[in-house]
Amino acid sequence: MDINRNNYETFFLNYLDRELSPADRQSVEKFISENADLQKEFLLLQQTILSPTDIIFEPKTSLFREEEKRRIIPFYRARIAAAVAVLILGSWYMRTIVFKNNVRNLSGKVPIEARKNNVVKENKSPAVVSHVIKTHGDAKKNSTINPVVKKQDRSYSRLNKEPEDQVASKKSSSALEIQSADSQTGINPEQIPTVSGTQTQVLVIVAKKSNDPVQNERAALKEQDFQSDDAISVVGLNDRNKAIAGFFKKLTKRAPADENARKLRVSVFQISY
Amino acid sequence: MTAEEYNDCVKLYADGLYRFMLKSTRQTEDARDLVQSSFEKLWEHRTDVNVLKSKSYLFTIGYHKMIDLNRKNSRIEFRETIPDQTVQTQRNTPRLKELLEKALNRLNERQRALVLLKDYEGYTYEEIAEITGLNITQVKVTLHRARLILKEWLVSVEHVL
Repeated sequence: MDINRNNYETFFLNYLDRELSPADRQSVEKFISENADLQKEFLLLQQTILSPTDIIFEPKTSLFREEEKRRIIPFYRARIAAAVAVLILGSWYMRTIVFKNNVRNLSGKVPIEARKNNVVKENKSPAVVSHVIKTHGDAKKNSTINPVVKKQDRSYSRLNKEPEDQVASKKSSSALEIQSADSQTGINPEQIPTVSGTQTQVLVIVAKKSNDPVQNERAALKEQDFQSDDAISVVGLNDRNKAIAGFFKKLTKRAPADENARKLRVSVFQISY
Repeated sequence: MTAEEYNDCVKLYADGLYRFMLKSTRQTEDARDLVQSSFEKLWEHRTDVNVLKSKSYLFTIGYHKMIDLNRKNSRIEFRETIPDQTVQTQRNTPRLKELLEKALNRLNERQRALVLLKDYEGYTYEEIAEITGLNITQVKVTLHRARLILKEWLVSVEHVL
């Protein structure tokens, strides 16, 4: 549409609003120059255009913002920290385990791992033959006594179910007595030793206090100079050599006043039959 | 939009937005509050706003906030009924710029806003339509009517002068 005297006002306004193409702008300028009576109206419309004013928003600084600062730990530092934490926890755990094992060994108890190994081996040969060996003499003399032997088919896994209070009652024994699994109420599961070799069978020997005065009199293991604080023993039965080999272990103290003077005594014996 | 880009928007557009608000409301405190709230909203939605669209986003927020405020306070009707005594008292200093500032009082809310957006900020019809939510034809018609009102008022003042 070309500009004419009927539509010039719209063209003038579009021209002042800078909404016309360059070609249309030239046509409007040409129309104004050719129609002098409309120049005043064009100038009046031009005067309605607001000119920029210097208005400043003074509190501009109040609008500025900053991101919340977050401390970002580099990934490699996190990995180093995790590694150090694992090392510390691992060393602490290992020290705890070793300490507990040492304490148990000193008190005549067998580590948990050893007990587990024992159970596993029992599963390999469930038909275990246990023997009853009663002795009332010195450990050295025990080697000359022919033991009474009984056979029984109980698994040692049952032994592990004995409660702890029964074990504690046996730790104050003054005489050693070799018992079979038939008297399991007197067996301390924590005293089951580690057995090496698949051919070896195990007997459990526990310390037991006897009320029989005759037995007490004949209890050569009761030493006069030492108070037995705890005693366990381990017996290995060798079917090939027809012999029972083992050792007695006692943790003793010399006098009540000397609590720290504990001493571990071990006696080795072998019984042939 | 990062915080740095937002602060650049403050430097570039705070004065223009304040001018637009001040000319629209003619209340300094209202204009400042509108600018503050507009930039507050821009900051809240900075992650969703394109930097290139930040100015129109600001003016869109400001325009609608100004409309809401004016409707709430009903100040527009009051101001349009203000007599032209101020013009008469300034007869001895009839400057065109001041006359035009006064002439804006004769426009309604929408006409004034569109004239301000067109003349001060240089927005096109299409951009003004995006900001105000009107279509291009409405923008064009409204602006042309506003120009004619201003022209007639200027003619009448010239006769008085």
